[in-house]
Amino acid sequence: MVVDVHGHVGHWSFPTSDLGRDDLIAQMDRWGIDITVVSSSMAVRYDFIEGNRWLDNELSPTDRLLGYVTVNLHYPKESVGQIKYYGNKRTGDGRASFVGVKIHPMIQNKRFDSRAGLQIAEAALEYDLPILIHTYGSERETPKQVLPVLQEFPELKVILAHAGGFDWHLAMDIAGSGPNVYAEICSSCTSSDKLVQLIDAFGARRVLFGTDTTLFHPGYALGMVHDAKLDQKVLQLLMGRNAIELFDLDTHGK
Amino acid sequence: MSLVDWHVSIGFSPRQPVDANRERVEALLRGHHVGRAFIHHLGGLWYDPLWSNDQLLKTYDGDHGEGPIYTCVCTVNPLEGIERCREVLETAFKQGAGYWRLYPVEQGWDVVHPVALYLYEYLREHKCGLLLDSGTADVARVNDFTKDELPMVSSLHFYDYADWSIRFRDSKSLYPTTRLLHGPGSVEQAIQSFPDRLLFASNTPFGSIQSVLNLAPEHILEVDYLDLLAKNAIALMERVTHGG
Repeated sequence: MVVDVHGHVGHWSFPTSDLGRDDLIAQMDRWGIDITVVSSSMAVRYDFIEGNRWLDNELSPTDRLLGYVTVNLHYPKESVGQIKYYGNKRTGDGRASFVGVKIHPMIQNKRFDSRAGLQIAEAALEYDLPILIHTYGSERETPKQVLPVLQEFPELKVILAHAGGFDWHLAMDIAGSGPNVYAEICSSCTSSDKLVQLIDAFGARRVLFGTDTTLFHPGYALGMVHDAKLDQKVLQLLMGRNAIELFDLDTHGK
Repeated sequence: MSLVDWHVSIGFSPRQPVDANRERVEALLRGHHVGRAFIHHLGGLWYDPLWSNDQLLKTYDGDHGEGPIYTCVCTVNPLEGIERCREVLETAFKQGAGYWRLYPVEQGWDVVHPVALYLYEYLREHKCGLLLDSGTADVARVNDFTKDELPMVSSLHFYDYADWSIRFRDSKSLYPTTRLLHGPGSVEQAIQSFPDRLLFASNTPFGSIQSVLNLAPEHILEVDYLDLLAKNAIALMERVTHGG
């Protein structure tokens, strides 16, 4: 099974196609992706509460898409409320539709290693929801901002989205900070060296496949994986097994 | 004459923990006896202009009873490409939109982005009004491009007054606001340079209305000062004939 741990649905302010849910699933079929974990672009870029609500509706008809509850570091109380609400939610057949928490320190102009971040981390841990946090090279986006939070909550599972982007050395620097820090590969940097080095630093069980769809074309990240020419066993871990274990997808949170 | 506030926002604030809820903002305006508010929707700045313009125009369609008159300021984002922008403009035009606010700084595009140039020309031809905040040089580039024929409201900073007081002195279409004139004597200077074009703007709820009101010159009676600002607002509104 192939799991894309970094996707979105909703509008983007670029002259690209706005893929709705069904378009995204059709795209997944074309590219051989079984499950995508998505956040709402409205929630990430604008109103996280409205965006999460919209996403909840979008997810309900399908089991091909799972959701991230997006939170906003400027609104910790409301964010904790969102985690509690969606963390408890189950579909009609008893599975969890929201399996993680999404944070974007760059868009929100606030870092995770803040009082608000600790409050959100505590709630995410209570519901055993991994946190997907956008990371890139600038101070506001640096992977290193997760360290103080992990010091407080070492059991918290954190996925470094983009693994620092072009500055993946920043992600690699903290690979040894604990067994619950993961690297996710999608970004504009598609160097296969990056992928190989991340696997080397984090170990084959802590690197996750993502595409950044619907912002990016999925072929972009898939090409990076292709050119890295990974060992089959490592490839299976990267492309799905690690995500299945991390998000407990075998049981879907039942 | 009542106060006209040219920069008011409603919606959700994703980058600062500011309550821009509509009810709250309207209460702020009523509290300061604002007579007319040029109001825009934050969803267009941060997310989807087509959707947010529709929300805004529907919200303020018709009489709202007591309180300010609300004039909708729609938006469009050049980064979305020319086809989408055309759709955004034409959809809002059908609903009577005449005022447009663009966000080059927040959205990260050059004011002479080719799609932006298309937008300025479109707004000029359709006798609209433009609200655009950016550095002085960028505002000048836009004004030059539109041949000083597109009424443009811009909150220029008092730090740059030495520049823009000269640069725009003879402009007939650049309308500076009082919002960033918080240096001692800045508003007085601006009244001298732009007596028939200075406007009031607060950026509520991201700025305090009272803060900007407190910048009123001491040597002018408050009623005369507000009168001047209101007359300038009316003069600009008479130039914007699109949307009625």
